[in-house]
Amino acid sequence: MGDNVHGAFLSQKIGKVRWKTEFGVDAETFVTGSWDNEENQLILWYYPPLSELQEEEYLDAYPQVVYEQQFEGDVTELKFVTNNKFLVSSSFGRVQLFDILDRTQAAKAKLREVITWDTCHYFKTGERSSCTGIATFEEDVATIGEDGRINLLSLHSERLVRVIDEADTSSLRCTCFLKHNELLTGNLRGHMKIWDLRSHEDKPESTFMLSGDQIGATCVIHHPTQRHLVLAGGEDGALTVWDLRHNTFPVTVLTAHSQSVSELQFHPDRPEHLFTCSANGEIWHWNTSSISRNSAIGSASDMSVIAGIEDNPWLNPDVAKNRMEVYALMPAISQPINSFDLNRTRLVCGCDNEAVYVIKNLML
Amino acid sequence: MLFEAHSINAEHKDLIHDVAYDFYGQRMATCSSDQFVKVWDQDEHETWNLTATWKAHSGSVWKVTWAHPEFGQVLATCSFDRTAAVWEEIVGEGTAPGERGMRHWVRRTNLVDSRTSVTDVKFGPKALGLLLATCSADGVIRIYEAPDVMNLSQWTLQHELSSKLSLSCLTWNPSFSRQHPPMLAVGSDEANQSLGSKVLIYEYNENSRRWAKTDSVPGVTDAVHDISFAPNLGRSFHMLAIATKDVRILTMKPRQDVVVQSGQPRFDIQTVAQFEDHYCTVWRVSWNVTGTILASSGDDGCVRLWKCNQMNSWKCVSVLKGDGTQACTISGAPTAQGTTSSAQTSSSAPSRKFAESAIEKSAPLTSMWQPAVIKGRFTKRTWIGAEPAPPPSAIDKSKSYARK
Amino acid sequence: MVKRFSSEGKDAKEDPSSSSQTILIPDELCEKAGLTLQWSGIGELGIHAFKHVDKLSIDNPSEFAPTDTFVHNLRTDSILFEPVIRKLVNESNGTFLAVQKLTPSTSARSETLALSRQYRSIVRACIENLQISELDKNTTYKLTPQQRQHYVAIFYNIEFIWHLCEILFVDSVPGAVVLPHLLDWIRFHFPDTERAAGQILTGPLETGAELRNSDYWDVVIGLIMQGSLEPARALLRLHSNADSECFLQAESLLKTLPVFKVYGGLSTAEFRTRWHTWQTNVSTKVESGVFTSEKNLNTVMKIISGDESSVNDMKSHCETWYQLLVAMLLYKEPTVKTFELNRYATSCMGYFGGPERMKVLDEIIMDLFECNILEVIKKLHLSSDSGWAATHLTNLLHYCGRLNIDSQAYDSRLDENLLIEYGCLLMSHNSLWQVGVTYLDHCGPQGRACLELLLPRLKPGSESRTLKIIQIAAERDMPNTVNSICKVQGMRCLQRKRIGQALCWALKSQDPGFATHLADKLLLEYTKGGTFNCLDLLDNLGSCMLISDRLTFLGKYCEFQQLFRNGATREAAVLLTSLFTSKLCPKYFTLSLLMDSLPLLESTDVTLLSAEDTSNLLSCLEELADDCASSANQAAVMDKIKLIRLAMNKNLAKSLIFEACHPQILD
Repeated sequence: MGDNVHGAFLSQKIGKVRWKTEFGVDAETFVTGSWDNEENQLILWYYPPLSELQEEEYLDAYPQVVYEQQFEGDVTELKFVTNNKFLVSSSFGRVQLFDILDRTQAAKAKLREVITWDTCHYFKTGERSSCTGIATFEEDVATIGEDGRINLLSLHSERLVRVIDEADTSSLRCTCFLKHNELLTGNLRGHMKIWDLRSHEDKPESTFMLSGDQIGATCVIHHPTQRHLVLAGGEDGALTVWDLRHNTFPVTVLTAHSQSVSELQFHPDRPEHLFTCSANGEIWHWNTSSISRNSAIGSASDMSVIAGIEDNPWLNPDVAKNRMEVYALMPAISQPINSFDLNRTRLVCGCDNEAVYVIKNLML
Repeated sequence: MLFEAHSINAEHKDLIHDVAYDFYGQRMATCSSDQFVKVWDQDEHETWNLTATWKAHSGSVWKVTWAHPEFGQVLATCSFDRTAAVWEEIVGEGTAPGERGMRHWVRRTNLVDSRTSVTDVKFGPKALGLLLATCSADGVIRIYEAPDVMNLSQWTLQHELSSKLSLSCLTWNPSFSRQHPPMLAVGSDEANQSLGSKVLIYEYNENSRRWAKTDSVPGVTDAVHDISFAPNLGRSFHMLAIATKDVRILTMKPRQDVVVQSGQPRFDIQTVAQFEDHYCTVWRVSWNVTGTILASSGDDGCVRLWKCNQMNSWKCVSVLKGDGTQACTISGAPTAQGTTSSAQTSSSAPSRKFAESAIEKSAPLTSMWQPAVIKGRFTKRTWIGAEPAPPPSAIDKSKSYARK
Repeated sequence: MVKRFSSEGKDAKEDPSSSSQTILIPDELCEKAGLTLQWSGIGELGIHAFKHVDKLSIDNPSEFAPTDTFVHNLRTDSILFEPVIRKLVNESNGTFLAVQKLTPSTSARSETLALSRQYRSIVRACIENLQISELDKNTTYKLTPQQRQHYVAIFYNIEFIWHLCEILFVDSVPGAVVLPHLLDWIRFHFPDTERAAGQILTGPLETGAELRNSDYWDVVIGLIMQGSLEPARALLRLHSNADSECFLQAESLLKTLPVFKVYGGLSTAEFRTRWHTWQTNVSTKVESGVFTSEKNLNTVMKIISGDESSVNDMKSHCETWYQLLVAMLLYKEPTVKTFELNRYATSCMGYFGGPERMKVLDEIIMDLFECNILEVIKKLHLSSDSGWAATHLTNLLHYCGRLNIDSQAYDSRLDENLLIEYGCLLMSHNSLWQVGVTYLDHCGPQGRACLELLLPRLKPGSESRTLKIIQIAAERDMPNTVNSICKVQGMRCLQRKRIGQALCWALKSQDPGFATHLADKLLLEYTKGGTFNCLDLLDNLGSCMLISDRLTFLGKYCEFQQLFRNGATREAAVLLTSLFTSKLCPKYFTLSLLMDSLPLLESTDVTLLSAEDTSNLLSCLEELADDCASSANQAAVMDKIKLIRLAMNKNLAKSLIFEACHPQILD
């Protein structure tokens, strides 16, 4: 493998991976959660950034396991809420808040359970339902599940703040907060629903479709700065783009991967870069910076607003169609890439071939 | 072959006549002379829990079998009491979040057409719909159908075929297509050799809409106790295992040129394996999921596993037998556990795989290798280019994507 | 209870082809009554005590009753499922898939060699992992020392055999000179001599080394036998008598020893001539007694002269017959061809006690020298690695074009059977099934049939897992498999009282009967409760509703309600009439549907339902009334019918008058 990719094999399929972010410096720790194993685990990894190592050492620096923790059920989502606390959800319908104790707090780095919300998701017959996603907005947390239920939690309380029991008759597959009082969910049939959380009615504010073919939604995000710009990945590998200011009809649908999009993420600091990974083992980098720059040169941004020309290339169907630059970050692997996370110029991804790969020196 | 085992006390107070596993091997149904049927479910920790037990018949329950899960959670049983029954599981709602609802099995139908003991019951291949075949000691094969697969309380007796031989076992051919019409085979435990073949083949004729006997297996004149078609892995022929005075594996190649009515044999039947290793009567045969290993149980108290090698010859690869001397040490735990949990639900002790004494784990490993004295040099630096995936050319893919 | 049952396995050495193991089931009842076995799932089985009963048996409790009875559920286990070895399974899968992209060919290719080395590297990484797993404090997973030793032995031997196989079959063209590679093989696996030489050479670099190091001559001879002449000469220069005539002579001879290089520019014939000249020179000097003053040096020179009598000296410096073989070839037949190895190997084995003393490893190496690949594969297959090596090596050799031997004796490609077995083994594992799929993908129609059989049998877990299984089946164009998995998933949802989700799966499974059943369920619930429980789904059915008439009716009916709620009464009325005329309405729902027409009939807008529409409705109503009249206890229904009939008659009258007055509207 090239110098830019470091892989490490584990003995479990990796469902989710997230960096423990540090402010202003490269992260050196990430967390993975496994799925589909007889005994699943949360694993804390150490992967030193380049600056701390000699060039020569760096070539041999593979991600190392620092701490393992048994986990009941598949890890279905991992989400950091502060720089050392993260939420994790399971296929047994449980949500937990963990704290990473570093070496200043404990003899060796480890994970500590802070809050457990048991039985967040379940079926009427009592069988446990998988919790399929977590959305966070500051202290507020929403969880969704196969049971079609939405739970609202607060990081400060072990009690559920609110439960919408029959939010969806199909299973919910993805969610994100649009505003602090607005939640977006997507289900197995590609129905997207916006929930106004101030309303006490257990009904969505609006409903729209991912595509006409009733393809399931697999992941959904909004643009880091322009929150009205929403992107969703589908089971068919396509990306759907909406501008929720105008209407709920998609601006563009881009055929991307040939199988379902597992995750998608804008670069947190450089939102002109988008990353996607898929079930057919691809991980792609979508670069729109050249388009953004061109349009900025062509017309002053205030002018374009007046002229109704969209500055963000995602909202301009023709640009998205013709001039999007897409790169594969590594050759496709034979198994699904389930999850990835970005940290400055590095990306870590976890796959069903029981490996994690760190891709360095992203071309931003 | 190496096995990991979970032993459970089945809580029947007598010998188990039959054990059936569901499609996935996650649920187990047992039946016994106590007239009860019990259902066991495996949880995430691979612990078996008893989830239902009920008195199913007024005689010993001979056999129990699962329908394909496409039809729901459905069982069929047959008994000495001359009936067969179809059961469906009903799950109730829990009263509190996450609390299990009540589960119980409802008798959907009682098939009372037989005048003698019903000796075997089997669901047909799912692509034929929901079919159930029974055979009985008076030699009658009955094929029932649920015309609406979503309604299990309505069954119609579609066909009744008399074989004139006391029947002990039946098997559906799992594969059919235009070349292979629906087919089943029955075996008879009639000991009288002069009555001819004890394995009969029945096929369904699309035109006449009838089942008819199309062939009988030559050379099997002793009592037959069990019979089983192997799963068909795209082969042009069928494979049938027979438990009689020995274990036999037959191949059946349909003859292309034969007209069914002509009375000529429909199949070119060949015995590919015949084993007398049990040195006595063979009672049961069972294929693994891919039809590559056959298990036979004999009156010698042994189970033998037969596997086909590269040269298409079948060899015994394992012998399993009971050992009472070890019982105190290994099955001791479940025994003790069984006595304490006589309540309606019990479970096998959920001890984890690696929590057990490690010596047990290493003991059965038989190795043909000498212990190695490591001589080579094994450090990452001496790797000869091992990498998890082919090297990426840093950025090599630039595409434009068409709008849908 | 989790136990591993012990087996009294015969040593595979006795007769590898017919070995069967005996597994003892620790159950007294099984011993007394006999037992039987039932397969389940993928690679699982259950065993219980069993006594045959038949129609002649009397239906009484058995002689053993009352007794505890056990079911022993067994699952195939494999060392490949050990966490530390799973890395090998996954990593080698990448290499395997790379191999499948090649086209079979017998020519030596850099691609096949690179992939073969990649496999070996993976095995070595596995051995390394086994060794360091003991030291790793961060993991909870532990192996016992016996296990570790056992696993290391398995993979060490595999790598050793694979290396030789690579030299003989992957990296060589028939008739090529093979010795330089064999020397590498021996040097790599027997590094003690070089290590010892290194130790001496890192000591004081002055004469008298033989006095400081008791093993001096052993090391020198060892180096000579491995063809490591440079360090051997360096050592000789450190001997106390290094300046004496015999040492100088030896030095000059060793310096001029011709070394065959594959790409050295010399043809084999030219090299042989040069070699012969050189060796005659050595022999002459040995015979003339130049080295007799130094006994050990004389031995060295006898070895390099290729003297028959030196074999015993050489043997005492070898642990194994194949070390002797390579050393002997080096000084007797340096240009030996692959197909000539057999003869020399047999004679070397003779020095070590002949075939009777040989272990499995020796046999396999001998088979390799005899080019008996089949035998090698058979023996490897019986090793305790669950067929990993046999499968991957055979597959690689297929791509090296080495398996077309005796092809008529087999039904299919030799490697395919192994691949199927290996793939099925992985498919039996809860987590490694995805890797298993990639092996079955490369086994032609039989592999595909296996996948069709096994994919639906993978244990259901979360929906995410099911979706992955479905994706695998869909990608391989197995619509029946996809539909069946979806149907089962739908039935599970139904059992969980998730009717909406069940309908969703019914649509995915393209099962009209199932969709009809669920639509009926929803309609019946509506007739009882007056609400639909999954309106969000029903309102967005789209063209999917066409899968079944009942679902179409349900979908259209919801559309009607939506229109009515939104005040589009005219459109609602049109839809309602078409629902009646299409005859899609199930009998049990006719009354409900007729009741829905009431507000339209009673509307002040006469044009909503025309006279013709109304009479159509009326005929439906009378049909229903007839059905009801024949059955008892329908008083409530009859009341409703009367109510509707009244409304209809009124509307009929109104619309007839209206239409008579406004004929243009009808046109």
